[in-house]
Amino acid sequence: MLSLLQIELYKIYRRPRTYIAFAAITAIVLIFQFAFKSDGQSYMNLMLQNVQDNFELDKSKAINGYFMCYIILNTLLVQVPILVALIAGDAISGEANMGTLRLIVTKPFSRTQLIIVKFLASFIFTIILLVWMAILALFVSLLIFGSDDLLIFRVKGEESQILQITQDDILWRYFAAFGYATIALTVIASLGILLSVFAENSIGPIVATVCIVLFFTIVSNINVPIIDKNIKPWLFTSYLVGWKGFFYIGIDAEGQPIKGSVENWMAIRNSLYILIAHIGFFLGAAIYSFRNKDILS
Amino acid sequence: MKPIIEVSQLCKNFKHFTAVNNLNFTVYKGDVFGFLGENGAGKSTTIRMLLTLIEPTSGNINLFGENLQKNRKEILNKVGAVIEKPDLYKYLSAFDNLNLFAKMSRLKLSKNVLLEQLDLVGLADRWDSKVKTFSQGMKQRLGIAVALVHNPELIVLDEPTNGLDPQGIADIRNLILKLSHERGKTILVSSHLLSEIEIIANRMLIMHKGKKIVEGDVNSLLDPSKTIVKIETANNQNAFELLSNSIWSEDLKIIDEQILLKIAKKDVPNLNKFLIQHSVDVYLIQPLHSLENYFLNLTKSTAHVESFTN
Repeated sequence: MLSLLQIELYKIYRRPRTYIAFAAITAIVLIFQFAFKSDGQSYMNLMLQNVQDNFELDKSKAINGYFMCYIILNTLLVQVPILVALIAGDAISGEANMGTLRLIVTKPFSRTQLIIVKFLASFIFTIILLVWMAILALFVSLLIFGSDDLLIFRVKGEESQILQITQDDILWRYFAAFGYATIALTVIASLGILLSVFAENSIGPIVATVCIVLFFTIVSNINVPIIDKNIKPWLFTSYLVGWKGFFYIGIDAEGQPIKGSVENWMAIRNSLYILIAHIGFFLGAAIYSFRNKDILS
Repeated sequence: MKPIIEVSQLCKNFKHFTAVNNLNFTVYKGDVFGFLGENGAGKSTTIRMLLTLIEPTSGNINLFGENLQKNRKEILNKVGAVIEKPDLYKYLSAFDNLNLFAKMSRLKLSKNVLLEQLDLVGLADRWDSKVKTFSQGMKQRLGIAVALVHNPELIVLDEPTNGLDPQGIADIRNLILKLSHERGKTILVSSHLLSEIEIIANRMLIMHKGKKIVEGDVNSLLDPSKTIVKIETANNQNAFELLSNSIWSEDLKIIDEQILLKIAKKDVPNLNKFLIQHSVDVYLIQPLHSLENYFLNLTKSTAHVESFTN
């Protein structure tokens, strides 16, 4: 199994397509950093226009490495599923398209092993992608913008909030957030692998995975009570942005932030369970389908 | 002789048709077994069932005396295959492809051993070139190297000469003969190029519409007591009338102004003498009963030969 995994990782490593994801993330992050370094104050003025009467803020300190990472994560974690789909959606269908699937399946290991190895390779790819993102978005931003307390702008119900997290209470939240994002993106990877079992070209499952994620994400963002109550809980995309929960710091009775706390641990835990259940379901379905599939390509 | 492949009552039904219907055959150790049939005869479906790519609807496959479904991993470790096109990882070199598939068979082979494998198929000088730069013939040879990398006892080649130029076909044919004669491999090779099978196989099976038509030794199947000859003369009508009054009159036909005669091979010289003695200018006496005609006859695809058998 380990040698098979090494082979899969080697194939991913040698494919030019793999580096599209890393190049895209690098380009987007650098553009963000350049834009905020050049004209970050305009962004802050826009963000604070509704609340600046109630708060006294040093705007120059608000734009720091931690803040940049939060902004980048907010934007990129919507796009990264597409990059994960590029690899996972190609896992089986890419082999079928190249004609190598029929050769691989005649090798002395089971089809279940093959799917598990493809899944693990996609999982590792996702981790590496997120580590790269963390290096660029967090550590490079800290180098460029320095560190300070993190200000989070949040709309809760009908009111706007600014949450302040002291800089000695931030780093663990980013590690937790990246960990959560890994699980969330692994759902996309397992969905991509499931869809790739049914196709004999790479484009179909990649596009299908992206379309499903986009469609569900759009529905997840429709803030109508009937959808909130009856549909959103059933969409895995509703839980993809659950990483933000690590930045919603708990507040005591006097309205002061409690260091090391989060507002709703239960919500984060439940979201993780739901995401892991989705991974299990998609992976199980992929194994079942592939075991019973006639390889005709 | 030790059976390597034993197939019994094998069937495969797809939604709207039966691809393989109650197929039985045996391949013995050391055989070069020709698997013949037109496109759609069921050859590839059978081969895919032998390699566990397709699940049989019913029937039994034993390889090396063991049930394929129950001992899949152990059996497949002793089998090498090229299935239709030899598709490999185009973005990798020949060497990397070979190394990768060796590792899939749980082998860690040295560079020298891998280069020897490439040398066997004539690709040693292109070991570092990416597969996307290879011609169809080179890909086919690399596919065979991949099939051989784990030193399998049984080699399955599905249409290995498809898309190759005459030199490529000759190279593959020579390689198959080399593997059989020098390395003692058991080889199952499918083809619709019947002349290929005639040259390389010692035993064969002919399939038509999912069913076995005939299985046996190539030499005995191709050595009937009589053959069919086509005769061309300066005046075919006169020659036909002459032959109609000879000892060969019973097996004589003229179709589309071509004289066809069913005759014992040993009598062909006598036929020639007879025609010359009767002042017939003979242009051609050509035996038609090659494997190809035999095959076409069996699958009832040719009116000329069929007319003799009806």
